[in-house]
Parts: sequence; C-alpha cells; structure tokens
Amino acid sequence: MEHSQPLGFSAREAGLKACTSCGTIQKIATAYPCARCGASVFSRRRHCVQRAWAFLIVGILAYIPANLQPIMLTRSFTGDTSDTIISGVFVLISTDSYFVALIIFVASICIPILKFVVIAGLALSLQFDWDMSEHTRHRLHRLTEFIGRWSMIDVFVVAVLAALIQLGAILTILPGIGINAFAVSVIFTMLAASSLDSRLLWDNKNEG
Amino acid sequence: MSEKNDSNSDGSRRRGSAARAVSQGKSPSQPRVEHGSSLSARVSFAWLLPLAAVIFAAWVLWESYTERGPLVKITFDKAGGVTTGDTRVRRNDVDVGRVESVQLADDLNSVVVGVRLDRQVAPYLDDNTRFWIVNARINTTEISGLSTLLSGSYIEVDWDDEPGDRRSEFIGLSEPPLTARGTPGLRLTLNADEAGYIYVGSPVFLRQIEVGRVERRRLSDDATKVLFDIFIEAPFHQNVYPGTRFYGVSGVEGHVGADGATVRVESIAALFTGGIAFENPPEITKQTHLMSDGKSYKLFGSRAEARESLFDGEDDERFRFMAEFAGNVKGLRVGATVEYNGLRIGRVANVTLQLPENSGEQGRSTVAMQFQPKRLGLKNISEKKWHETFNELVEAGLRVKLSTGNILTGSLIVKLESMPELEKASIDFSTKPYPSLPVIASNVDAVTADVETLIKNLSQLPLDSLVSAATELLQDTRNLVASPDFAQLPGQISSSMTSIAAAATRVETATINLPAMVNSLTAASRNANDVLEGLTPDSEIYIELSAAARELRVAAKSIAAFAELLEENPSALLTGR
Repeated sequence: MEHSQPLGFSAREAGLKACTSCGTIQKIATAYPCARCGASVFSRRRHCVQRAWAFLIVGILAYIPANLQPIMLTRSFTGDTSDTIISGVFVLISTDSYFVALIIFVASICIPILKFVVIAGLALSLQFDWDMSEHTRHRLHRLTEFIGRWSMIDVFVVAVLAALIQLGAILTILPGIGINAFAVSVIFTMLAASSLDSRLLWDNKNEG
Repeated sequence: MSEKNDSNSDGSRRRGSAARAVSQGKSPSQPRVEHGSSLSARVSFAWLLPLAAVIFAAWVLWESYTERGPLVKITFDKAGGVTTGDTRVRRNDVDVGRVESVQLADDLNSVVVGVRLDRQVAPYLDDNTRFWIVNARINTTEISGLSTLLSGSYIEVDWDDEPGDRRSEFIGLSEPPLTARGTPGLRLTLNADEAGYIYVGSPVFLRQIEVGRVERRRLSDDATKVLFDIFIEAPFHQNVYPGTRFYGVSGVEGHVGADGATVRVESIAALFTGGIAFENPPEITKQTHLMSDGKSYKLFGSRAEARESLFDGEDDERFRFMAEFAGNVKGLRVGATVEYNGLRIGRVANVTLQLPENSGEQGRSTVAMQFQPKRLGLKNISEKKWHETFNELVEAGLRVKLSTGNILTGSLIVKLESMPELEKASIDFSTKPYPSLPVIASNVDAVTADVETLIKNLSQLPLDSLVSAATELLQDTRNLVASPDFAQLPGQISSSMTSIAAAATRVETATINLPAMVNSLTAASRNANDVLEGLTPDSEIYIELSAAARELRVAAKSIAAFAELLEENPSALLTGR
C-alpha cells in the first residue's frame, strides 16, 4: 500500500524535528538538547554521508588484510599451519563439511562484500540523488543492519576455538592477525551502516 | 526546494550545518558564512579514520618491507621434503627464515630453493655459511632428526660468528656437517694408506673417551692417500701436540704374543663404525700446544704400529748405515726392525740387489738402515759424533746380521750383535750412499731349511686319525659316565679300596717302566711343538686360516657396503632399496 500512496510530508518539511531518544517533537529552531530527556536533537545528522563513506573505507581497507593474513594458527605436534578465510573454506570443503563451509563462505565473504556494495550504493544514491524508490533504499538500509551481525560469526568461531582448544603441545589454536582485521572491518561497516541517517533516505524522493 | 536540489551533491552536509546553526539559535543566514570559514562545517572528522587506516597500512607495509631480510638461493641435489611457504630455516632450533620458492635449476639436475631470511642474520651470510636439509637419519653412527618425521623437514643453517662478504647464492650440503662452525676445537687432517673401516662420523678417542669425529673422508688429489678431516672438541684439543700419534681402531684389536693373547675394544660404537684414537708418547715435548687448524698427521693402522713408529718421520739420512748381505734376504722388508740387544733402534729403509760382477758369484743385497739416535739415548747428536760413537761400538765387536723375526711369517729383521771374540773391524766410510757396517753370516738359511723339514714331517703326521681317535675316546668316556654302572660306583669304591691297596704294590713294580713313559711323552710334546712351528705360509693350516680370514674380510666389506647404503639412504631400511 505504501508504494501506491504518496507519503505525507516529513517532520523537517513541517519545520519540526523528533528526538530519536524519547520521541518528543519540537521545532527545528529549538536548541538541540531535547527539552524532555536532554539528548541532542537534530533534524538530520550532520555529515552523515561523509561519515558513512569514511567508515566504509576503513572497513574495506581492513577487509584486505583480513583476507590475506591468517585468521587462525593451528599449532600441533606435526607442525604449524595457518589458515586464511578462504583457505579455511577450502579445508572444510576438502573434509566434506559443505554446510559449514557454506556458512563460513557466506558469512565471511559474501555478506561483507554485499554490505560494502549496499552501503556504497546507498551513500551514492543519497549523494547523487539517484532515481531510486525510497522503499528500495529503506529495504536496503534495513538489510545492511540485519545482516551486519552475521558477519561476526567468523570472529566468534575463532574466538571459541582459540578459547577451547588449548591442549598444549598436542593441539593449540591461536587467533591470527587476519581475524583482528576482520573484526575491525565488520565493526566499521556496521558503523557506516548506522551512521547513514535513515531519515535522509526519505528526503530526496519527496523533494524530487 | 530548489536550493536543496542544486546542492544535492553535498546535500547532507549543508542540511546538517543548517540544522546545527538553527539549533544553536543563530540566524538561518549564518550557515553560509560558516560554510566558507570553518573546515569542520564542510568536512566530517570521520575522514580522519580512513586517513589513519591508510597511514597505518602504509606504515605496516613499509615496516615489513624494510624489515624483510635477504633472499638467498640455495642449490640442493634433492628437495628432500622442502615445500614452499611451510619449510622453515632454522639455526639452533630457532626459525630464521622460510622457504619462498622451490624450483628446478636451469640444468634440471638440481633444486634451487629460494629462502627469505630474517634481517638480523644478513651479516653472517658469507662464505662460511652452510645450509643443509634436516631429515630423519638412521645409520650406524647416528639416529637424528626423528622429529622431522612428523613435522616435515627443515633447512638448518650454520655460520661462524664473524660477519663477512655477503653472498646470496649457496650450495647446500648433502649431508649435515657434524660440528657447527662456532664449536671450539681443532680441525686436523690425517692421511692413511687405506680408508679401513673409518667413515664420516666415526669417533675420535683419547684414552677411550670420545673427543671428536671424522668430518670428511676423501682421497688425496693424486689418489695415493686417504685423507680424513677430523674435528677434536675443546678442551680435548689441548692434548694434541706436534708429536701426537693417531691410529685407527677398527673395533676389535687382537694380539697374540709370547705373553698371551689380548683383545682390545676401543668402544662398542667403534665395533661397528671404526674410529680413530690418538695418544701422546711420553717422550714428546708438551710445551707447544697445537692451536691452529689444518695440521696434517699420519694415521697409523693400529696402536701397536703407532707405538712402534714413534720416531718415524725422523728420516734423517745422517743417521743411516748400510750393510751388504750375501745370499737370500727373502722376508726382509722395508720397515723391518733393526734391533740391538732386543730393542728396536731403527728400521730398514731400503733393500736393493746388486748383481754379481763376475759369473759364479752370488748376488749381494744392500740394506740401508735408518737409525734413531734417540732410541739409543743420544739426543741432538751431530753426524760426526754419531759416526764416532758407532765406530767405537763396531771396533768393540758390533756386527750386523740377519735374523728371523717371526717364524710364522718368515719375516727377517736386522740384528746388531756384539761379538767381541771376532777379529777387529771398523765402519767402511767409503761406501756410497751410506757408510757400511761389517756383517757376519747368519744362520737364516739354516733356519729356513729346518723349518722346511719340519713342515714336511708335519704334513706326514696322521692328524686325521689322531683326531678321530680322540673323538672316539671322548665318546667312550661319555658313554661310561652315562651308564648305570657308573651311578653305582660310589658303593663300589670302598670295596675297591682294598683292591687299590693291592694294586699299589703292583704300581710299585710298574714304576720301573716310568722312565720309558716319560721318554715317549717328551717325544709327543716335541711333535706338538713341531705342529706349532709348522705354521709357515706354506703350511696347510696357514693357507686355510688365511682363506678364512679372507672370507671374513669379504663379509666385513659387504657389511660396510650395507652400512654405507644405509648412510646414503636411510629409508632403505624401510623400503628395502
């Protein structure tokens, strides 16, 4: 029903702004601490597309070492082996663990890349006012926030393995540098997604 | 609307600054001023993060680039389990690098391994740096590297403590060196006529304590000698002096002499691998330690040989005499002992034959003798004094004669004997190349003839029937002991006692025959003597014994070959090839 019906007008168009913390509606011209709860109130967050870009770039930069460096070191009496994300996937495939391999592949390769693309697309669409339905934007934005948490699955896998498998000389698993970079990448893509002010997504279409 | 539309490219920024301006209670026109004046109004501080990330990444790259050590290429015969990325380079079990590439060399006959080493080791990559692949090794002298069975092989590197000219290409060793470069000690070269049972890795003993190892075994350039490079560990190397004697110990050393038989085993390990021992004769001066590497020593075949030739090397021709013998000198070899009063005082340096000048005469053999004045207690003696001393001895009746050194081998020695009853003679200083000592005829030929008749008699001895008779006798005795009658013997003994008493009287009468018996016993023992003396090279027993010894040697050689095969290819133990 939303697609067919034109939306009303935004708070900003009405000269109002809402506190994101307590929901109080106040005039745009009022001072920014919320009259009720004291939180800062903005009509649109300042520089939010720039911020999203900045975080996204950090996330992408961190994703490079995350894939090149080993995420996990396995130290056993037969010697040391280290696995990167993709080599870990291949190891799992070679041991016929197709399901786990798929999960790791999707969570660690597909989802981060998808997020980069989506966030970059949203930011571009805001910046250049692409002809994109606000509902599409909205869904994409929800999607990035929804799938963002799944990216951490790799970090948890390594954290759990490294914590559990400490059998001294027989078998020891240590986290590698790659997993730190991966965590940094995930954190910054999540920051990028959240720093995109969702209210902005609704602005352009109305105005266009 | 229109304002937003034409500024869409930085819409958010402008909107944000406008909102802030509004919320701060400033007039709506002010944001435009802020626009131009404040950087923070146009650019988010968040850009510092990617900037920091880029700087960090650049720093990490730069750091890893500058920290990156040298890349060296090592040529090996075989890759031996070396794999790209996994194989480490180690020094004293610490990783100092890793393999980056494994390729066949241009000639396709060897393997070139590219190794990235840590930066800190770069100064030591000079001519003295050695690389070798550590695999599991199982052979007669060592079992090592078993950990590599599980972890895979690695490359060990060894260098000395001094930085030198950088090299980036090395030839890898096919065998691990036995001692690391930095190990304090002494490296010496021993030369021997034959390799014997001494291999790379064979131990070096001092008073039966292992103090070093054989590092290399090779032929000399002209292939006339076998050279052993040995290493003696500190502090034992302080026991090596210029006069030290090295000799081979090949497991068991047996000696049969007048004082009985002795068997000497240097070490159990040496039983299988052979070894080298050294000792210092008590006479040598111990003032000068040997502190520098590379000195060459002669390696004697055995301890006895080493002891006998303590003064070898003093081939001082000033102390040579010669003697002319008529007749057969068969069995006199170069190196044979020159004896005086039963003590070795020199050796035969040379034996030459002079054809008779006139027909009908016998050829004469000239024997050059090397004397060792030290053996006579004469130190630092001049040639003149030496000649005077000897001349006095000769004038007092000293004569040279040949004598049988060993009746078994038929070898001859030269004996100096004082015979004052002979008419006076003196040294003939006119002969060349050395002065001649007067000789007296020896009974060597007579001895030889005696021995030959002995052998003849011996071969006619009915040895076979003797042995079979003895066997029968033994068998009978055994049967007797086993018989039930024998068990009842104790009971019969008391009754026997009476008959013994009776017998005693008969014995008395029998005693009269005793001298005759003694005579026959003496004859028997003489026969036994003959048997022993008959062990000459021509006798049957000797031939059989030497054949047996030859077979033993063949067997030992094949064992040695097997050991060598194992050494080269330890996996042969498992794979059978």
